[in-house]
Amino acid sequence: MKFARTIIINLILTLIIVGCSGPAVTQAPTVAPTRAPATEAPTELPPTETMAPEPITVVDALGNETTFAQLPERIAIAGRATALIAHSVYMFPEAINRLVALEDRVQRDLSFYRVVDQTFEEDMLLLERNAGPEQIIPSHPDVVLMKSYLAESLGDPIEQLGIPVIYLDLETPEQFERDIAVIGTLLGNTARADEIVSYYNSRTQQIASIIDPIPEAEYPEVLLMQYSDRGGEIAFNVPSSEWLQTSMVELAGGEPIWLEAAQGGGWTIVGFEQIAAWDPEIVFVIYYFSDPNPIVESLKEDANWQQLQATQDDALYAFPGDFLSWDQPDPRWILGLSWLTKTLHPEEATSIDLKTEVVAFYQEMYGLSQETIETEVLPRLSPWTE
Amino acid sequence: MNSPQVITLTDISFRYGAKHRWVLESLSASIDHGSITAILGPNGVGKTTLLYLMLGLLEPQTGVIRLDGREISSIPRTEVSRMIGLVPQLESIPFPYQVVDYTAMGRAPHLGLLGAPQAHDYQVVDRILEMLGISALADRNVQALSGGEAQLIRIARSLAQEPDILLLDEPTAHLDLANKEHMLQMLCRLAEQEMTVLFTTHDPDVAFSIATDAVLMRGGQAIASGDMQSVLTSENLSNAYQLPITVHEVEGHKVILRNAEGCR
Amino acid sequence: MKHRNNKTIFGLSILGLLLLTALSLFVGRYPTPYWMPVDRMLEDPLARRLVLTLRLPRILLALLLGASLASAGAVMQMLFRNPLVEPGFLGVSQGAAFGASLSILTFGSGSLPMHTLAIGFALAGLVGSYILARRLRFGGWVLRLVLAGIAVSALFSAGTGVLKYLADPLTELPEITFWLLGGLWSGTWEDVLNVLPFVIPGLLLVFLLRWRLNLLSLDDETAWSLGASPEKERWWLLLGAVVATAALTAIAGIVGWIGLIVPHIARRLFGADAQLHLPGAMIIGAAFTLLCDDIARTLTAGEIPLGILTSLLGAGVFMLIMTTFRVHLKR
Repeated sequence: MKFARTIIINLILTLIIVGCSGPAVTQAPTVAPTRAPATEAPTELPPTETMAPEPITVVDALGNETTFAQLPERIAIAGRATALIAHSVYMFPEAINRLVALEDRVQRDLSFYRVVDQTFEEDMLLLERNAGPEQIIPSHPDVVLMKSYLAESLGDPIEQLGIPVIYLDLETPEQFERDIAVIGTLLGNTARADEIVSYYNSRTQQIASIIDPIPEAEYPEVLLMQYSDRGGEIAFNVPSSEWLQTSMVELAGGEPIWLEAAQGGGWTIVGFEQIAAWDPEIVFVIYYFSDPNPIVESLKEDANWQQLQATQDDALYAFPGDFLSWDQPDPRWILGLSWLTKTLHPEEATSIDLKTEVVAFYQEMYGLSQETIETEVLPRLSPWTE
Repeated sequence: MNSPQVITLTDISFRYGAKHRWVLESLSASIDHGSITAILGPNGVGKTTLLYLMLGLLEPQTGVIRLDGREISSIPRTEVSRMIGLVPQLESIPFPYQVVDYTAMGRAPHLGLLGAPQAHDYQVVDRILEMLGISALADRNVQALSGGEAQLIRIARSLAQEPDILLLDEPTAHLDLANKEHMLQMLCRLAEQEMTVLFTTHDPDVAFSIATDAVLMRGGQAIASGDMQSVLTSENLSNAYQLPITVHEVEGHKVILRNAEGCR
Repeated sequence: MKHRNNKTIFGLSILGLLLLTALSLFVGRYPTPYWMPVDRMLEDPLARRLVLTLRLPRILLALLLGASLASAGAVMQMLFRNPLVEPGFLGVSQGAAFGASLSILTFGSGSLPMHTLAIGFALAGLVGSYILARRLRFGGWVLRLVLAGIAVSALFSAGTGVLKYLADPLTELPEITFWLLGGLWSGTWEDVLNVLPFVIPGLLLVFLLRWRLNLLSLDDETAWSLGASPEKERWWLLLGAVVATAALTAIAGIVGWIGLIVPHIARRLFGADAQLHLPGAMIIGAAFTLLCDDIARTLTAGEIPLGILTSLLGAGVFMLIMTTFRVHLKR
């Protein structure tokens, strides 16, 4: 599939290049991207919305260095995980004006955009799913953001057309910090990036200070799994050992017991037998399609699951979320981490108050008013232990 | 068999489809019980088609075919296959069946839809193989036989149907002189056992050799049928093959000469 | 008089299958990887429960899947006079895959729509191939049917590709992809009960008509002259094979190679006569699939897709048998 798409995209590219003279010209003549092997210090910019005439340079997730003659005014986001990147970008006030095009992948993402961006309906160009360079070009972006694993399939073709592509990962706490800084540079608001990073750092440090004194031997054995039931095929999936979900469990002072099954790159299906062999102390159930609570209830009533100590100790939990489940590589992971810490170590984590965390998060990260939070966010909270 | 004519064809016209030419046009003939009938004619005249019609495999557009006095369309096919067996000229067998299993396939008309050969059926098979002198081939792989052996097992399979009438399509076409003679003698023996033998051939010598009756075809019709001697005359043969042909008697045997020797 | 050797081989095969089935009950990941001691099963209620509610239905499904795929392969190879044919022809597997993917996208969770659509589209593949074959303008009947089957299979494969394209990549796509690789990880007693009404009649039909396969493998004129109705009988046999296969494909996904190689092995062991090698194929197919599924759920902590194992082991066994087994069994 991917291979065929690459072929087709390259064929289209060849036709375009043949039709145009020399390298393709973009509609934003102010951008002159270069790829320089030498490193340059990024230029400091005042934390305002005015355009700075000096060039900026960013080094993205793939280590590519890109210099812009001036701040990109039109930003597009494309590819899978568009939403996860978009949610990060929207933490900057400039996003509302600079984001011009987003890939429309899943219906439920749109509701969040409408909450944080009043101009979304009128101004945002929604690209069709799996948009290729031809669909992205008409929005005249100055830069396109996407996940780094799309470099070959989507990024390269777009760059061939002269539009710079910045790759982001945002999939681990370290990557998150790095990529937020990149976004900040791109938007000309590195101060805001620092704010965001320090917000996250304060939370992670708080959590670390709670967890550090606890000896590892006392970490509960945790199973974090995604429940899927498409087409009547029930499957229990465990996340890869390299994924954010696993890091979150470890940071929250849990011992992930599924690692031997998680050596692959993605979700791995495990049978109930294996879960019974592990017999975890605590089980977290992620369900991406709707509220996980009914799933957890059905598991509690399943005669097999009742044999597990987690069920018997009432330690089967639905993983919380609001617009999205909090387990994904999306800014909300910090909420997921806080919740995990509180759930795994309730006695030591008294300083964490989740309701406060949620409100603070949306206020400080997205600039939502208390009223908006109460009408749009809190009703969407599903389920949690308080 | 009740009536003296086991097969009658009355005014048969046949073509393979609306856009095809007529293969047979108003053909009439009848085959006598216990006869050895040769069907002759040039290539492509429809000899094999005639066999298929007699089998009920094809349906004529006009005319009636009767088996033992009964219209063939009114006879259930399982019964037809108990009455008539067909030995095709060539056959491609896709799997390495053993000869005995392959022969046992001929028992199909005597088994139900869900049936399979039983001990009794295998006794019939053994008997037939012995009669044909190929008992030694019983365990052999059908795909590994010579052309002559393959033909014998085809006959064996047809005989396993225990038919009253045996149709053979060009039975001597690929055989050398010795095997040809062997084959013809075997057909005689079958006829001795009250079986009606019918075979197509393009070689009049074969007909002269053992046939009691003949049907001579040309242009989709039977230009002559009946007693072999009266059918296979110089005049009829020349007409059928559009060549000057004369029938001669040499040392008591009928032979034909094509009066056209040498390069011209 | 002639089946003496076969009875021995048959008896041994069935015995082997029963033994394998019994052993499979003790193999798994609980309480430790691979082998569960007998006394553990007697003492631990959870162990008993796992064996009865998880392992046993899964074992049965693997047996049924193997028997169905192998007999479908044997039927098709004989009907199409081609030893390189498998149930994937005539758009059956691909139709089932398409139907199941469609169900995943439109109905989400729900095994009834999944089964219905899978079987429906599998039969549609069969009927479609048949109708298309009738309209083709050249070649013998078998050639036309194979060509039509290839075209219909390709159409359904493309359709499934489109569905994958439309699927939500974070959730639905991984599921469709995993399903397409085949697996019995979610097999329950409910699944067993759901498929039995299709599988038992299908297998029974094929089993009862198996001797006719010999006739139908010959030229049509010959089969006709022996009193067979080639078109009708072919249809019944294909129907039985397809219904059984499609019902199980709806649960297990696409599992390849079994329908292709097991009939070959069966013919080598039991001879070309379908009367014998068809039940032989069922036994060998069941055993082979069970073995692969045992490995799929036991070897690693995570599940290995069944299709990968059958292809891997199947290809290996295939190459081995084709290069070494040259003796013709004389009986």
